[in-house]
Amino acid sequence: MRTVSVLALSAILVLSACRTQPVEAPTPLVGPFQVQAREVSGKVLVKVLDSTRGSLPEGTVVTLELATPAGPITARTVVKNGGASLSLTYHRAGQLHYRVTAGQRSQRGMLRLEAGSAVRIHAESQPRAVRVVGGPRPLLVAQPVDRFGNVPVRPVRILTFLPDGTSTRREATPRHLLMWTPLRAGTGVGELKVSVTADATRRELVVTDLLPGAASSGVLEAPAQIAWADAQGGWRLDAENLRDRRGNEIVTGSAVTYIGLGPQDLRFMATVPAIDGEASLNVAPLRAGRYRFFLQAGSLQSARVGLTARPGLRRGSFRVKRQGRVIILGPLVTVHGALVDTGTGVTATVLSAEGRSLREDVIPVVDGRARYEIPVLPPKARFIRFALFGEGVTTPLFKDSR
Amino acid sequence: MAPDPSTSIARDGLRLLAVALCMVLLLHGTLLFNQSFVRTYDALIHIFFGAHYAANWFDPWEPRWYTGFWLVSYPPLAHYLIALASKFVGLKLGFAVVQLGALLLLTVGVYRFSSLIVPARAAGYACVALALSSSITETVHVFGQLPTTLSLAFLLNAIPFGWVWVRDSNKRALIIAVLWMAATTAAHHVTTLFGSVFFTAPALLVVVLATVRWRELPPGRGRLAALPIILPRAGRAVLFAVLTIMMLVIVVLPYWLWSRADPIEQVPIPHASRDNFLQNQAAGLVFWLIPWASTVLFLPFAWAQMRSWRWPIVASLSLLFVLGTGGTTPVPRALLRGAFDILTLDRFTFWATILILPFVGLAVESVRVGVLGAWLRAVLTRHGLNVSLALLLVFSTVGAISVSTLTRYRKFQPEPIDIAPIVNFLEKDLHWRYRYLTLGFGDQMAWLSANTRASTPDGNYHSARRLPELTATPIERLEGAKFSGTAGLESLRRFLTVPEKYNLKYVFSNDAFYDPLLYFSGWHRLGTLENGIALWEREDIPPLPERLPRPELPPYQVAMWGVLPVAAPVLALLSLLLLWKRPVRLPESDVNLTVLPPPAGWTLPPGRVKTIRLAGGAFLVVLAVGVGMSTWRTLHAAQTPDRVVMSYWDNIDFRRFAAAYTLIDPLEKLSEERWLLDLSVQGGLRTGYAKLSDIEIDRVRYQGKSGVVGARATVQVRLRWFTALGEFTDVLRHDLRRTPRGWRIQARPLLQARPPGRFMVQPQVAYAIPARRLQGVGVKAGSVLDRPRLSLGPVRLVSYLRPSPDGGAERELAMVGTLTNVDARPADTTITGLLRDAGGREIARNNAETAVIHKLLPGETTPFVIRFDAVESVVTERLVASAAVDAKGVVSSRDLSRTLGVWTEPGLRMVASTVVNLGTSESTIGHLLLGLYQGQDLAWVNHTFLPRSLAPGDQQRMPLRADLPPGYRVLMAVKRSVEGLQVQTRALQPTETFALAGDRRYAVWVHDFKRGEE
Repeated sequence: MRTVSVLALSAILVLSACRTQPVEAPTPLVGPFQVQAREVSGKVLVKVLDSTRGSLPEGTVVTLELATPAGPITARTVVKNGGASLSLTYHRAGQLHYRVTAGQRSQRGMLRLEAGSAVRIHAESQPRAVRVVGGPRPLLVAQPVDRFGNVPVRPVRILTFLPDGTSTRREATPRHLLMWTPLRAGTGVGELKVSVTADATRRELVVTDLLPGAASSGVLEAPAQIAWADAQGGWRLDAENLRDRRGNEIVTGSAVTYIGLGPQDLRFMATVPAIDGEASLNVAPLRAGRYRFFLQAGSLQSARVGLTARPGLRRGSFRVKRQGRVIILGPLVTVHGALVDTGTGVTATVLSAEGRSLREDVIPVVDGRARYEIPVLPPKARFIRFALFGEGVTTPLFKDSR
Repeated sequence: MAPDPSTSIARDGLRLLAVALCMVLLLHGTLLFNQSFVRTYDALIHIFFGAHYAANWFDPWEPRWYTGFWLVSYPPLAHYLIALASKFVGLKLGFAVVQLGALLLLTVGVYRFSSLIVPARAAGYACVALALSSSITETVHVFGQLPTTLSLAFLLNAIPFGWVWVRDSNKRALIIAVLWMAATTAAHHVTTLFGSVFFTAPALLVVVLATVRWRELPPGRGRLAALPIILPRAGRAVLFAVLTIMMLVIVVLPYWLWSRADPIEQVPIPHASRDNFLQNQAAGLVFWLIPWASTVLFLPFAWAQMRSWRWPIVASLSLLFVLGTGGTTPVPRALLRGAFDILTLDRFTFWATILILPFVGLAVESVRVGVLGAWLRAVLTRHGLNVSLALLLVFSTVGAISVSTLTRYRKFQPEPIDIAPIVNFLEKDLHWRYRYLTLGFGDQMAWLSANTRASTPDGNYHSARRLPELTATPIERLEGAKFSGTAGLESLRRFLTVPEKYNLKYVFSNDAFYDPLLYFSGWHRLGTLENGIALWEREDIPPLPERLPRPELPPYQVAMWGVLPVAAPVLALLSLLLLWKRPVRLPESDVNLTVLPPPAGWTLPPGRVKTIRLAGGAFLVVLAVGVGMSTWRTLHAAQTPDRVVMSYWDNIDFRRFAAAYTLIDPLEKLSEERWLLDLSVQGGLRTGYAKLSDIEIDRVRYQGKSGVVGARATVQVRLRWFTALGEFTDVLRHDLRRTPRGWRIQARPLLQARPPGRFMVQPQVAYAIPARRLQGVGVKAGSVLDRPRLSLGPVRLVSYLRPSPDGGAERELAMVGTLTNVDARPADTTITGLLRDAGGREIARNNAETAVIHKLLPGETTPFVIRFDAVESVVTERLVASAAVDAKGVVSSRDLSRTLGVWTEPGLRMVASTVVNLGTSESTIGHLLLGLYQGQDLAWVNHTFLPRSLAPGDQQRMPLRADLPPGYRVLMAVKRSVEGLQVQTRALQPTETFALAGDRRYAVWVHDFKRGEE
C-alpha cells in the first residue's frame, strides 16, 4: 500500500511537470505606423498613429520599451480608433533609446532628455589645505544636480574670496558630470572661501586653508653659551623667527631638527615641533668640551652656534677610599659647590691589567658619595674605573693589587 | 516462586540507568545551564556555526572568518540543532540544551552498548560511571566539544541494532541501525569513520564469533564446521558496513566533494596531544591523566578480559589506549603515519575511556557478586573493601566536579569579555564595512563573530582557512599569535603590515603585549571601550566592496546540506516506530553474560593474601617516597645560586612577586613595597611588554665556601625576552650571598636622579581633525580622503644575506629610501614596494613595517626599509626585472609627539648612542633608527628599540650596528612614478649625516611610544 502511494505521488509530480503550455491566439497583421515621442516633466509620452487607414487594426497590442542602464522598461496598451498613447516615467538626463512594437512591426527612436534646474551643489576642494609657497594650487570640484540627480550642463559661477579681501569671479561648465577648476591661492595665509552658484538656485561655501610654506629663514640663539656637565644645567637653544619665503611664520607643528657637533666626534640630533614660529630645546652636555649647534627646517639650515661645556665636578671629587671590600667615591661636588644629586649613576668599570672591560655596573650616588661593594670578580680583574659626567678616575681594585 | 534472576538484573540495570540520567541532569545540566562552557575551547566555535545557520539555514558560505569559508567543511547536525534551539532560548542556552540532550542520549547509548557484552546491571553501573567520568566532564566542560558527544551518542545507540541484524537477520533492525549511523555521520563523520573501526567492528566481530563454541565443534571437520554459522553473519556484517559507508557518503556528500575539490593545505599545527607526555607533563595531565582519572584503575581488569569472548572489544580498547598516548611512544606515529600530524589524539583517549565503561560496570558487578569481590574481601577484609569502594565513589564524584570546574581556577581562556561595546562600535558608522582583528580574546572571538556582521581575517576553525598567510604557518589563531612564538608573530606581522590587503582597519586588543608591534607598524590607539578593550585603528584602509566575491555551490548540494543532516536524526528517531508492536529483542541469547559467583568455599590461601598485602604495601611506600622526593626537590630547588637566579626571574616573569621577593637579600632597608615600586617604575619593553622565553646561566663565581653562611657568588645570567617586536637578550650579573635561609640575591633600593627639567613647562602641539564617517550610499565629496603631499627621495633595491633558522644564510631583497612629508599638515603614511618579473607580473608586494616612522610632522623625513621576507612566495634576484615604490598618506593628528634626542659617537663597527628624554613625560619604548649612507644615498637602515622606559631627563645608552648587512649589494634604482606624489632626484633638504670610518656616513632618527597616549 505504501509503495503504491509513493509511486502514485511520483507519477503526479512527473506528469504535472510535463503539462503543455497554453496556445496564444494569432496576432493580426499590422501595417506601417508613425511614432511621436516627447518628454514632459519626467514623463516619456509616445503616440502611435496608423500611417494608412487600417494599418493598425483595432485591439492590436502596442508595446513601448525604453532602454535604460538598469534594464528595459516597458508599457503596453491596445490600439483604439486607429492609434495608441503610451507614457512611462523616466528621470535620467541624456540620450534615451526606445522601441515601439505593434504586432509584427517595430520602430526605434531616440530622445534627448535635459537635466532640470540645479537644486543642490556638491562642492569640495582638494587638498583642503595648501601651502602658499611651494605648494600646488587647490582644485575645486563641483557637481550641481537637479531634483532627480541629473547634472545640468550649464555654466557654474565661481566666486573666490582670498584672505586679503580680494575676490575673483569666473565660470566653468561641467564636463563628464563634474566641474573642476584650479583656484588661485594668492600669497597670504588664511582661508580661501569659494562660493559656487548654478542656475541661481543654491550656493555652497567651500573653504581651503592657505598655510605658510616651509621654513626658509630663522635664527638660532643660545642665551647662555657656557654650561657645566653636571646634569643640572645645560644649554637652552631657541630657534626664532622661523618663516617661509614670503615672511609668514611657519605652520605650528613643523619639524625642526637640532643638530649638535661635540668633542671627539660626539654628535647630537633631536627633532621638535615648531610653535608660533619658534622652537626651543634644553639640552645638557654629555661631557666637557666645545660644541656647535645648528638647526634644519624646510630649506633652512641655520648658522652654527658655538657653545662650551665645562667640567661639572669640582677638582678632587674623585677621591677614592677603601673600607675592606667597599670602595667609596667622593664626596662628589659640582663646580657650583653642591653635592651631586642622589640617584645620579656613576659607571664603575672593572678592567683587566690590559685595560679590557670585564664588568660594568652603575652605582647610585647617595648623599654625594658612591659606594661600590666589590663583588666576586674574575681573577683577571685588576683595576676599576669610575666615570661621571664624562670625567673619571682609574684605581687598582685592591691596595695590594692582588 | 523465586523471581527470575535475569529479570531482576534487567530491572536493576534500568534503575541504574535512571539514576545515571538523573546524575547527568544534575551535574552536567547545572553546569551547562550556568554557561560554564563559555570558558571552554570549542563551545563558542560551535555556537558561531549555529548562529550562522540560525540566520542562513540554506547558505553554507560564511564570510565572517578567513575572508570567507565553506561550512560544508564540517558536519552540521550539532550546529543546526543549536540554530533551532536558539529560536526559543538564544544561542548560548541553545548550546546547553543540545549538549545536555547529547549527554542523555549518550548515557542511554552506553547502557545499550554495554548490554551487548555485560549483564544489564553492569551496564547500569557503566552508565553511572559515565555520569561521573572525568573524561566526559573534561570533554564537555573543558574542551566544550559537542559533535563528539552527539555523534558518539548516535553511534552507541546504532550498534545494538547492527548487532541484532547480524545475529538475527532482522531487516527492521538493519534499517534502524543504518539510519542511526546516518545520524552519527550528520553529527561528526570522523566518529563514523573511526567508530566503525573501534566500536562497530569489534562489536560485530563478537557477534560473528561469539556463538561458535570451538571446543564443541564436531571432530574431524575442524574449524570448517563453524563456517555455516560464521559466514552468514559475516555477510550481514559486510552489508551493514556497506550501507554505513553509503550513508557516510550521502549524508554529508557536499563535505566529501568540498574536501576533494579543495584539499586542506594547512601545515601541521602543533597540538599538545601529540607530545611526549613524560616531557610535556602539562599535556600529559590534560590529555591523559585527567581523562583516565576515573577509570584507569579498571584497565587491568579490562585487559584480563582479553582471554574471554570479549577480546575484540578489549583489543580495540588497547589500541585506543596506545593511540591516546600521543608522542610518548613511537607506536601512534607508526600506526597513523601522515595522519599523526593532523589528528588530535586526545579523541582516541576519549573513545578509550568510553569503551572501558562496560568493563567498569562488569568489575563493579564482579565486586558485588563475583570472584573479584571475593578476592578483594580476602585481601582488604570486608570493612576495608567497603571503605575502598566508598573512597572510590567519593574520589570519582569529587574528581568529576573538580574537572568540571577546572576552567574556573585554572584559566584556559581570558576573563569573560562583554562584547556589547565592540558590537555597538562595529555597527556604528558602518564600521562593519571594514574587517577587524581581535588580540587576546581566546575563543571568545567566536562569540563576538556570532554577534556581529563584521568580518575578520582571523578565525577559529583551522581546516577552513585558505589564506596562504595562515595556511603556511603553524599557528592556531592570529589573536593568540604570541603563544606560537616567533612563527606566530611573523604571521600576525603580515596582517598588521599590509592591512589594506584584507580591508583590516580595527584591532580590538585585550593584551598589551601587542601594543608595541601595533604602534610601530603604523597603527594608532583610538581609545579604550567601556569593557576595557583597547581599540586600534589603521588609517587609509579601503572599505570592503558592497558585494564580496563568493563561490557558489550547486543548488542540489545546498539543498542536501540543509535537509539531509537534520533529516537523519529525525528519521532515526522515527525509525524506532518500527519497533512499536514488534520490538527487536536485544542480545544476551548468544553469550552468557551472567557474572558467576565464586565457587562455594572459595578462599584465597593466607600465604598469598600476605604476599599481596606486602606487595601492595611496598607499592604504596615506593609511591609515597617518590612523591616525597619530588616535593623535597621542588622545595629545595633554590639552594644553589644559579637556581635562585633562575627561580627569581621565573617568578618575576609569571608575576609571582611575593615569591620573587623571598629570594632577595635586602640591603639598605629595602622593603617589599619599595622593591615592588622600583620594579613598577622600570617600565618599557622589557618589563611591560615582554615574556621570558629562556633563562640561561652563563657563569657562576664563588667567593668563600659555598655551603657556609656569608659566602658570596656572582651569577651572570642571559635572559632571552620574547616581545612583539622580536627577541632580545639581556645579560645581567647578580651578586648573591649565602644567608641562613640559603642563597639570596642582593638588592638595594633603586635610586634615580630626577633633574628639575621635568617640571619645566614645554609647549605641545595638538591637532583637531574631525573624524570622518563613511557614507552608506555613494561617496560624498566630503568623505574623500585628505591626502598630504609626500616626497620620495631616491630608493634602491638591495639584496643581502639573512641568517636562516637552519644556521645558514639566505638571500633576501629589500628597498631602502627616504620619505619626506612636504605638506603643511602631519601625515600618516604607508609605503609600499612592488617587485615585478620580466613579464610585468607582480611577484611580491609589501609595506614598510617597523623600520620607519609612519606618522610624520610637516617637513619631517623618515628613512625606511621594505623587506620582502613576509611575502607568499620566495623571490630571488633573478626573478626581479623591475621594482616600484608607492607612498601614500592621509592627514593625521595622532602620535606626533617628539621628545627624544640622541647623542652618538661612531666606532669602528658600532655607533654608541645615548638617548635622552627631553620632554616632560615618560617615554615607554624608544625607537632608534640609524641610516647608513654611501655617498649621498641612503644604503641601509639599522634600527633598535630601547628595552627600558625613559623618565623625563633620563638617558639610556644603546649601541647600534654601523655596518651593512652581510652580502649587501645594490640591484637597481627603484621607479617612483606614483600618482599625486612628489618624486625627488635628491632629497629636498639633505639629511645631516655624520662621518663614519671609511667614506661612509650615518644619520639618526628617534621617536617613541608612550603608554596610554591616545
